[in-house]
Amino acid sequence: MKRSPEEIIAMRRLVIDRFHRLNCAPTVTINMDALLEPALRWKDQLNTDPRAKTHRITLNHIILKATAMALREHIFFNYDYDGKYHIYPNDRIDIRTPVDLGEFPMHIVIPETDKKDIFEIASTFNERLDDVKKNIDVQMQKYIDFQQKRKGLSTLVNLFSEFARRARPLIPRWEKMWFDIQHKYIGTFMVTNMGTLGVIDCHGQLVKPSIAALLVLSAKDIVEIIDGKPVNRKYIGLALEFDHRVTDAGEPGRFLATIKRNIEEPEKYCI
Amino acid sequence: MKHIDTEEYIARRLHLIRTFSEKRVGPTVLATIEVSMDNALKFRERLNRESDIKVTINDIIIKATGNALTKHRLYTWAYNGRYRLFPTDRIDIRAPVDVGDDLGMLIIRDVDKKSIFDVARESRENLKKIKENTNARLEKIAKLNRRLKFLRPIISAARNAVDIATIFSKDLEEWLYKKHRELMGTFLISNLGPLGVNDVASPIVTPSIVQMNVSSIEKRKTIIDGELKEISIIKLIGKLDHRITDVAQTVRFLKDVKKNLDEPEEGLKPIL
Repeated sequence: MKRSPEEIIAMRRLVIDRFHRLNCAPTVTINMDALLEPALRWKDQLNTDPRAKTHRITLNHIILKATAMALREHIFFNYDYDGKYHIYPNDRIDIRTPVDLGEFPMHIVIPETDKKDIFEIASTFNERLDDVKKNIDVQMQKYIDFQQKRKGLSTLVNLFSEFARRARPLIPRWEKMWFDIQHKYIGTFMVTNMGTLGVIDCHGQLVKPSIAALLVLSAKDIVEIIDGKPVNRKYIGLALEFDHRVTDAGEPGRFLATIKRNIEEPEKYCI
Repeated sequence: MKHIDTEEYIARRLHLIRTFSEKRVGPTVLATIEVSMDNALKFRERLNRESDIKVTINDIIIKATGNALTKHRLYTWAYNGRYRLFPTDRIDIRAPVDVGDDLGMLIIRDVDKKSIFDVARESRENLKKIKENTNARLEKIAKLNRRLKFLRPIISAARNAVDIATIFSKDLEEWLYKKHRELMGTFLISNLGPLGVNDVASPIVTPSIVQMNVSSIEKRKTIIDGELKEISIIKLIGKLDHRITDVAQTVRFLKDVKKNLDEPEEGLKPIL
């Protein structure tokens, strides 16, 4: 470990506060497998298009589009929930997806994902990723220095954040305003793709204002008997975590089934 | 489980009830990867043919994890659930042992520096002691808890007072975690394989940042080079406190454990 304990805490301060007990939801996770072969074929076909020369289409882009289209049919999961007695609708579907950049995950938001075609999603994603990669080290060091070197000011900011966290739920208008500000950085729905990490199962911890979040697991080969012969079929694991206070397994199950359908028939449902 | 005296049962479980108190449970994320155990099982078979010391799958997993932790020291540190981390350079692995209705704690110290035979020998000796002593130890704790039943509110208040004192005194907190390390080691592996469990979800409690659960061995059919073959798979389930670490970092640690199990000749050597 290259960083000192104090630096790690300074770096993760935002995450520590985000996962504050007051923000954590009672999370339930449900799983489903989707046949991957149609999406892989579609990806190869899209990559022959001249528009894919600058921004190659990946499976991740297809999954983001499939999820955004499923959210149109299940818009409730795109809303904000304050953890108490208020649900706030959102009319935009802005999907965010964390990317692994070593020590700290950065989030990329694709504004209005449902209205963009797959090439626009790829270009927005790649441009923002380049931007994040270029600035992450400088921005992170700035934040660590602020927490460590400007102790007085950072303590004041931290105390104010703590006060605001407790006060906001008492005034719904403030809470809604805070959620709207946050949408710029965290979008309205999160899709975490852990496929490249080889994760075959995952249970997450949902934090407010999310009602649900999608985890994409790694692809796996399952032996099936086709025409009397054993054949490897490629499946991808999908896990949906949801806040049990505002929904039960039924509606999230149907939402997950819609995402699965969109991935299995991308040419029909991801346009 | 037979009919139980509820008062007596609570007295025996009081330390675990306190361990899993709401204040200590962190925002938990679980990430699972699969590992082929074929190489590790062949390696174990060879070791057991050549030596009198019987090496178990649990010993191999403990050693593989200890070696992987040398590259991920953060996961042996203590986290107080707020804004402090307490580093250590020791890799002392604790593995809970099922002793009937109770839980024994097997602790192997400095796992990274020991050979697989040292780990196996120490594990055997400790296990014997645990089986002999756990019941008596828990009986002693239960007796004390029964006697102090009416002092429970005062004990709770005292614990809360110490919690508050640690906010102001880093030294006191450091001393408490040092004692915790001496008693409980620095990293937890919960191997549920012998019970036949193939998946598990459980909460993480401070001061742990990451803990690892291990599932039972599963035989799986797969097609390799056009041929239908059967392989032995286990799941490594990383349980992480999302405030301090992320899935990607934890999976890199799990993959290092997997690498040590895939290449046991190299991966299970002592690291000096």
